[in-house]
Amino acid sequence: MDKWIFLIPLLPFLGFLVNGLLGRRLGDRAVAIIGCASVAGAFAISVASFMQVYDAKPDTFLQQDFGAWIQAGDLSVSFGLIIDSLSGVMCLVVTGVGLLIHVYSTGYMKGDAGYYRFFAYLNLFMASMLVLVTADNIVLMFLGWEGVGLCSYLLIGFWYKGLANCSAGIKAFVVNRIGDLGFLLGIFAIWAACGSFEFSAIVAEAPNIDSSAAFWICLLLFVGACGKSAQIPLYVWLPDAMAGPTPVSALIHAATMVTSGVYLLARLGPLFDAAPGVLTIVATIGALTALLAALIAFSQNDIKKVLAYSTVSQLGYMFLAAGMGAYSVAIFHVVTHAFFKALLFLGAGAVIHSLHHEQDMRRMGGLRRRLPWTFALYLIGGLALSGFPLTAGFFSKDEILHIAHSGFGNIEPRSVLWSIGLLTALLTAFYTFRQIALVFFGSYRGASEPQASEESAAHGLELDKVKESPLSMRIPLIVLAALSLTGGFLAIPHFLQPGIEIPEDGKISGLIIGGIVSIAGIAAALTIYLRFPQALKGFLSSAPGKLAHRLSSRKFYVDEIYQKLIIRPIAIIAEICFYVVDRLIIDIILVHGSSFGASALGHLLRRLQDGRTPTYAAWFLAGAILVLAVTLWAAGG
Amino acid sequence: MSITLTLLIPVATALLLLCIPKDKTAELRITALFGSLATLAFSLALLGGFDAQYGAGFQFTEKHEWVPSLQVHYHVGIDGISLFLVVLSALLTPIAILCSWKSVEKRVREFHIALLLLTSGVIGVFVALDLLLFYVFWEVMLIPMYLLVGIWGGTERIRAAVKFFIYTMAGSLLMFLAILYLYQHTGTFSVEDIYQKPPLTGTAGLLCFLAFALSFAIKVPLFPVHTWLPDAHTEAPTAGSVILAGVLLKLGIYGFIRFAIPFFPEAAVLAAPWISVLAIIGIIFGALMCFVQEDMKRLIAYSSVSHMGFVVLGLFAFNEQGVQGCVLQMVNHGISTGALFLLIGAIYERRHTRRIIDFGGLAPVAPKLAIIFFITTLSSIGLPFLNGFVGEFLILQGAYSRNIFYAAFAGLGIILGAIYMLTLYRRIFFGETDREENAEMKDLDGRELAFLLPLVGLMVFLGLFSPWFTAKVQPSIEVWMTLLLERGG
Repeated sequence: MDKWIFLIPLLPFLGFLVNGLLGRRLGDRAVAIIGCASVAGAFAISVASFMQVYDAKPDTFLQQDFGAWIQAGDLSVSFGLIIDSLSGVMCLVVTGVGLLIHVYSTGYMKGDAGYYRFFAYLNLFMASMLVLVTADNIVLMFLGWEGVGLCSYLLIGFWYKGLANCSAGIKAFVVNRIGDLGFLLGIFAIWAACGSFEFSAIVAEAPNIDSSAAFWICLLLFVGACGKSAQIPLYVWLPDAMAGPTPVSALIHAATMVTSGVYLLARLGPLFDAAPGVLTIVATIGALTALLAALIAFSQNDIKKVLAYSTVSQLGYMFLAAGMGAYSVAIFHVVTHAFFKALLFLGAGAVIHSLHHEQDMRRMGGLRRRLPWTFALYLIGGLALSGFPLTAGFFSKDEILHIAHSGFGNIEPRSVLWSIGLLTALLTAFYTFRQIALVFFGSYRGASEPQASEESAAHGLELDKVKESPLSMRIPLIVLAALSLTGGFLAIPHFLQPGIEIPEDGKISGLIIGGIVSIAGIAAALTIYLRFPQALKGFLSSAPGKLAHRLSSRKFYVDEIYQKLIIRPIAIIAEICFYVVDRLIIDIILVHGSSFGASALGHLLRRLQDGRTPTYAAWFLAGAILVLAVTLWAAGG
Repeated sequence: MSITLTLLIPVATALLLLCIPKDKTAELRITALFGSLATLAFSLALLGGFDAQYGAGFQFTEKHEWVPSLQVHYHVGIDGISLFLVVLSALLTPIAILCSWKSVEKRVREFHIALLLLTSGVIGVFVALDLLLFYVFWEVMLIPMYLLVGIWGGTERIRAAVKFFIYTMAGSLLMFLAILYLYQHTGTFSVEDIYQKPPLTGTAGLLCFLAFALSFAIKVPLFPVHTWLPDAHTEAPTAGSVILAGVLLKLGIYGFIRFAIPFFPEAAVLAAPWISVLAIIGIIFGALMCFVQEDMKRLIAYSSVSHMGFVVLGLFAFNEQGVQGCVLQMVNHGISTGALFLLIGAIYERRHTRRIIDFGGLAPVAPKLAIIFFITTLSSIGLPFLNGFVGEFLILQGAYSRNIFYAAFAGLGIILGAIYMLTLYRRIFFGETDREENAEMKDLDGRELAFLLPLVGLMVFLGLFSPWFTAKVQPSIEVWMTLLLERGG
């Protein structure tokens, strides 16, 4: 199998080339087949490679090297791919969930003028993401890292006629670039410390790196992870990224790309273990992000925005796990989250599709009767996200909380972070079922209420016109729902870290507490939104209620603060630099000033030009003597 | 496989053009194109015959006496560093001729003569191994460039041309004095001989270095002597901008590599931190300038200031990664910025405006233009997979090894670069096509694709197969570093 792993990223890349160059002529059907088949091929090879790694003894891997990509002096970067247990799991998730989302997209994007362009971008994304995952060195990983960022930009701004979409794309790209600068500097620091970019060499060298170097390397890499995985303070791009088509939100902005930061930490685990200071930062940032995003998700009205903040929040959990040094547990949550969050996004897409591009939950309600399939599947996703007992999210999230509570390896228990995590779990269950209540229960509000939001595209759709989505969209949902129910039983931590020691004490009680919190949140949300909506309104019109609602719905004014403190000042500095430094000081005063001086001198000298040859000859002589004198003086000195 | 032939073909073609009546524009263009393609073919023969394993010294050398009394020789030769710059110059000339096919209608014969002589001039600078010969080429090439801006330029062309001329002359004169002084000191104009003599040190060395450095810094251009560039670029015809960005700016860097640094290593090392800081200021300053530009050509001109800052930074890191990145990035910048000027020229030919605000929604109207512009944008902002990344990566790694803060601050340039380039792209290509003139715009035609697609191909090729390039340059850089070390740098 190790001869063929290069096909994992290459097949989708070929799909990109064919669809991108010829798609317009091929027709939608051929485009869809090429798009899905290329990913299916990558999935098949991933499965085969994974089986080989799985069957073999621990620490085996498949590797393939295609020679140098960058070379200068003793610096060398190769096109090298590796499939080990970690990248094998990631490949399965990326290609598996990716394939489902490709199939779903064939239905969701039907009739869109940019159909072939969409599949081309999606294939390019798959190729980049698979390079990111299978790269055997950190620079090649960075190629994939930037590639997925590019595709994210392209797909957020997919409907490019809307300038707001394009701006959201640019915001995503630029915020990611800020993180990428950290990542790049981390790469440079790695080379300075290890003299190699290969993961195996870095990990082998990790114990020998001195602690301050390890601290800076890991901190810089974590900055990169914060950008891509939307953690404080760089999470602001992800909610805006919802401007893209919904399958994109599911694939890129929930299941795969945004988990790259977690993957990076897991890949370089031993290096991060050598920097305990950074791990503390990682765990703290993770827990705080989880809480902040959950608080914001509370008051969002856009069905996708709720899910977006929920993604930010769940990514926070993954970093909390990574910050405890439990990388395999973090990856466990990456996997289960990929299942249930893709399910939720695709389910939301089905709702949006059925409502003709309505995304405002204030114009939904009571859809469970008209959309029974979608409702049932969405409910499963919601339960998994809430950590309802025995669903996938229940196991992976509670494993994280358990580790935070009991400590892991050398890392002491972090009870503060554990309590934040537990509170967030409660909030998660609450906002998830607030959403389900608003969308599927109660009475339908789409036809009657006046335009609730300016962005909403619908013009009042009667309930009896609301129809279920086509089969191509439903089947992927069913598969994902099955995975969301069973995914928790995968023993991913034990597979990734054979011999992992998760403390047994308190494990059962942790699960029980987690289950209770989840059920409590769900019950509270359903009770408040279905039984006592008046009480809620009453609370929201009270002073503390108003304040809380405003803070949450305005996202704690973080975007505004960035605008005022960073973006505006840069724009002002740019203006000042241009008009004052470039134009006035350099150009007018220095250059024109000296040329004005020269021309004034010229006027003076013109009197010398009287047209008589002897005068010229005299000046010529004088000039020659001057040059000679200067030369001789210089020669003497 | 002769350097002299590569130098002479453009001159011979220019002479041939003089024999063609000036109203036969089609014949003039075709003759010039074939002449430039022949030059390209010869430069590619040099590339093919170049032996990367040759070891120290220059290849394809030719040496003839010129002014025996002063020991001035016609002495030319190339190493891995100049090799690709010669090829790049030869490549951009036919492209410049093709892109002017329809846009230049005034004095067609003189235009092509100027372009061809310019080609000979810049190639001459890259191959000259005699200081006086170098200086002659250095000055000679100024004149056709000056004429290109002054005659075939935009409305403000005279002012821009004069500014360009004054700036560069100011630098050249000081450098000439330094060359004379060096001759006094060493008794030779031969570059290779000067390499063998004990270097000038102390105040004299520093002053001579500064004289050379000023002249080269103006050409690069290094902050704060960059203000001639936006004017010259904006006013130059497309062909002029392409050659200016693609080749002329590299003359300054090349001058540093070949002359200023190895001649006066002590002074160069002393000045390196200062020049690096200026380069970083240029990176950030140039990028910030792009935020406030209304004219897309002027925006790209300022982005050149930013990009060339990276190139200087890599060079003055004085390590293999930095210098290798510097040489690669010179070529990369020639390709991607050249392509950007060509694309903007194509837009200008159709719409007769370069104000960004006049555009919007071009993507569905001109998809080929949109795609090529996008790939070029990505190359310019250093996306991996394309050429710009490899160069920037090596430069920043080199700068990091020199001083961590160099890399950190220069890195801000890649963030700012993404902002201004993607915003420019959005303003031109995205949004509603709300203007009729834009809705009726024609997409790229076959001629334009013929000169743009090879550049796009090079972006991908150098992005994926950079070792092909760096392996040819590597031995020369090793020689250069050893030289620097031996001479006390």
